[in-house]
Amino acid sequence: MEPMNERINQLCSGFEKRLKLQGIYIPKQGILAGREKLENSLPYWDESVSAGWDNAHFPFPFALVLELGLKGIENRARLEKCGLSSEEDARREGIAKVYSLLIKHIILHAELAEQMALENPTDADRLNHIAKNLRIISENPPQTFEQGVQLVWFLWRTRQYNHTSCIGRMDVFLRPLYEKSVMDEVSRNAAFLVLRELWEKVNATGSGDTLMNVMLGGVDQDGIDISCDLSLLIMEVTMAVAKSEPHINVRLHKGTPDVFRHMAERLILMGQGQGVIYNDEYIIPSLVKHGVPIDLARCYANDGCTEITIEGKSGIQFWQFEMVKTLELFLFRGKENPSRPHKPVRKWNRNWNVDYFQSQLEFGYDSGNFIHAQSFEQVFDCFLRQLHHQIDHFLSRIDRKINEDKETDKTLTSLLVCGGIPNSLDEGKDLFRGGFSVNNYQLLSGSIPTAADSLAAIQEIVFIQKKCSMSELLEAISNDFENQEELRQILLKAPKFGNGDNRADDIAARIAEEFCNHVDEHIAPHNVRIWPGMYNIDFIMFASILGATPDGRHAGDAICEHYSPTPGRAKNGPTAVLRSAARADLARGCAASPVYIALPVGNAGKSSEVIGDLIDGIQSLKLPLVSIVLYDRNILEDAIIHPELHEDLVVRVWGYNARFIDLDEPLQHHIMNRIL
Amino acid sequence: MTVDAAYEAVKADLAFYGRRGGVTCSGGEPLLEAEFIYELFKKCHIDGIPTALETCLYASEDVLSMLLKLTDLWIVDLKCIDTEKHQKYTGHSNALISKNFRWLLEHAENIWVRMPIIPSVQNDADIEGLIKLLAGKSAVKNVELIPFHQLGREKYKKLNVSCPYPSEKEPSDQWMKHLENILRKAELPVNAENKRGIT
Repeated sequence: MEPMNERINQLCSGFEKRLKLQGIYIPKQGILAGREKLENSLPYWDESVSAGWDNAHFPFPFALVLELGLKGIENRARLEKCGLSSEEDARREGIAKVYSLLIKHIILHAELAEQMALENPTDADRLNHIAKNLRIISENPPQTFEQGVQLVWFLWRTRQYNHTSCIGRMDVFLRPLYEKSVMDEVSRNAAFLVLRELWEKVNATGSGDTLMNVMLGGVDQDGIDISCDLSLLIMEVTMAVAKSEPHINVRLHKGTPDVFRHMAERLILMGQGQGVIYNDEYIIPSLVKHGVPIDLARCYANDGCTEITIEGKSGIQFWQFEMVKTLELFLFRGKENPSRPHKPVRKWNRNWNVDYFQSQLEFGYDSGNFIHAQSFEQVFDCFLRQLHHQIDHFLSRIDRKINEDKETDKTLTSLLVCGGIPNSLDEGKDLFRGGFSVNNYQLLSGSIPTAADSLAAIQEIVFIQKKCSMSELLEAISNDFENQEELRQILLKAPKFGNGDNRADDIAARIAEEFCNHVDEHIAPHNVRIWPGMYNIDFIMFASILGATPDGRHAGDAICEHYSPTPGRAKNGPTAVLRSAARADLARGCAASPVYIALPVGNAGKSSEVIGDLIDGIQSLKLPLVSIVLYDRNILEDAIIHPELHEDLVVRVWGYNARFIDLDEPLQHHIMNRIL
Repeated sequence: MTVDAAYEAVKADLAFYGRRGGVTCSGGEPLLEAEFIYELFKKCHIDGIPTALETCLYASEDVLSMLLKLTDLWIVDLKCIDTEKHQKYTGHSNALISKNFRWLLEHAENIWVRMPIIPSVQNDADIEGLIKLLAGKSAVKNVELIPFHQLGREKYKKLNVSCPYPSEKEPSDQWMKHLENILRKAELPVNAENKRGIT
């Protein structure tokens, strides 16, 4: 491997190339300089534009950069420090270079704006205003809300090359500048306009799985509510713009002011999946139980999806477990179900290429012969053996990654991000090796409810009603129920998760508990606690490699996402879904354990009172994370047939919102089938 | 279904009742099962769950007395004020209903009144009758006029039953607003914002 200096210089060169390719751009309207998107350009992962590892999934550490300004970061990185290693010195020098490059990039924008002002006297005021803001932020910390937003835009846009990333607690890091700048209705209106311009710019960069999450509200490190007028303004702008980006998430707690809560209810009522609810009362204690100091736990935000990060203190890396495939391997004693489909699939966007998905589980492990089991418990024990084996397989992969991150310099992390993290800025620490003060490695469970439906069907149909034997059931699912429609209908009527039926719900809760226990009991290297989550982002891909299952599901049919019912199975309304979910201690899945409920738009759907009542119920059921969306099925159906008429129709997918017409058709149907 | 089984279903959604929700018994005519409701509402009150009864009041005064203290909200369905019209369109006199309603106005604290509006049946005079009945009655917290609709037409077809009102029109939004305005001018709480008298 090359010497560290050279490697870090290469990262600086990568960042410089990134800025050059992005070019200089002054908009024809508005006041935020900086290009939105490059067409037909290098892929964002191209090594030549890399400034270091950054999976873009965690919030950028805006707070420190806004406080010190770009020049302040550069100067602080250049402050002499004794006792550092040569790598640490090189990193600090790299941080200084990268921030210096960004300053030059911004000055070039200022020069262009000034030039344009001379050439366009009628627009000179606006252009000179842009130039003035740029000059200020190139030399000093931002002084106004407008300048703060401008700096946030540049940092966000240059963080990744021509790609998007997580935003974070915007009402925290921009609050000081907001309260300095906004004194009255006029200045508030000006702030509204600049945020609206920012929202239009972020929407111009892309739509869908963009990682552009904003988290509002919640408590600060001392446990005091931090919501403010900026929190409300951000929600107002989101409702006014009504596009898919950014994705707004709200933290609620007992002390959440009514005004914030009511605004969040209105946001949810908009129906686009905005306003995902995070309950501080259940998430913060769970993070503390997983080793996060309470003052840091209180500062959590979500990542580019729904998972938890600690803003300014952690990144995130996650691994996606395959719960229903684990069930399949248990049923077929280490082998795949012969009825497993072999067809390529797109993850979500219809413009992407199709690909064959490969399971990451370990095939070949026989967890026991249950064909002649005398009780459901004996069958369940075999399933648990397979589950534990497969979890161990994933945990050892995570352990290897932890060792690699902590013990080697194989990966060098982003110099731009390092500039916003005190341990990296002052001590030259790589983010993985001392930069981040909180480790965040997550194992996400996959579709527990769909697995539970299958086990509930075995319990009910094989052992209680004795309508078929285990071997008959296996025969049927290995042939995808060919000539077995009668049995399939019987299985479909077995208890299903999401209907307030403890027979299925308690099995799901047991699986969740086993999963969390096994992950929590694992001792990972370097005292890292791996965070479990009841979560599944790859439900489309996983379904594409699953044969038929004992719940009556055909091969390749949909499975659920996260801790929500399999689409189409919940028949008793949203309160039943929430009650089903509440049978498990979802807070134990501190990485993220969301429940999604999709309501049909109707008379009740016009009232934010109904949303408020649902939220009250969610909190008293101790659910940590819930997404409430409202859809009109007729409109969704029409959008499939006439996409040109529904270009602005936005839906919630998993941890993000997207234009419905951009989604691949199986995903469109999956979303429609979620409606309760 | 037993009272216990019904109450289990009530308790299951307790988390969602919050400050404004509760249990409503309706029908058909729930007062035909007065004893069941009495036992159910007793259980609800022990656990602090608000109760409501949606009824046309076609029952004896004894039944109303029995349920009075256990019913936090009375949602009363008044089809017609005029006695002859009531007889013509429902097949029954409204004498008992009127008597019971006047009793309820004296004894209950929380009443909503609902009247269906069918263009060929009700007119301004019915609204005037409603005003006479309700004016100044503090127990009445909300008045709703429910427009007739033909949404059931397809269901009659599917059941192979002839629709009893095939040519009855739905009232226009304009006419509904006109009737509501008459009530508002008489200072009745029409579609009241703050109608939830239950605490």
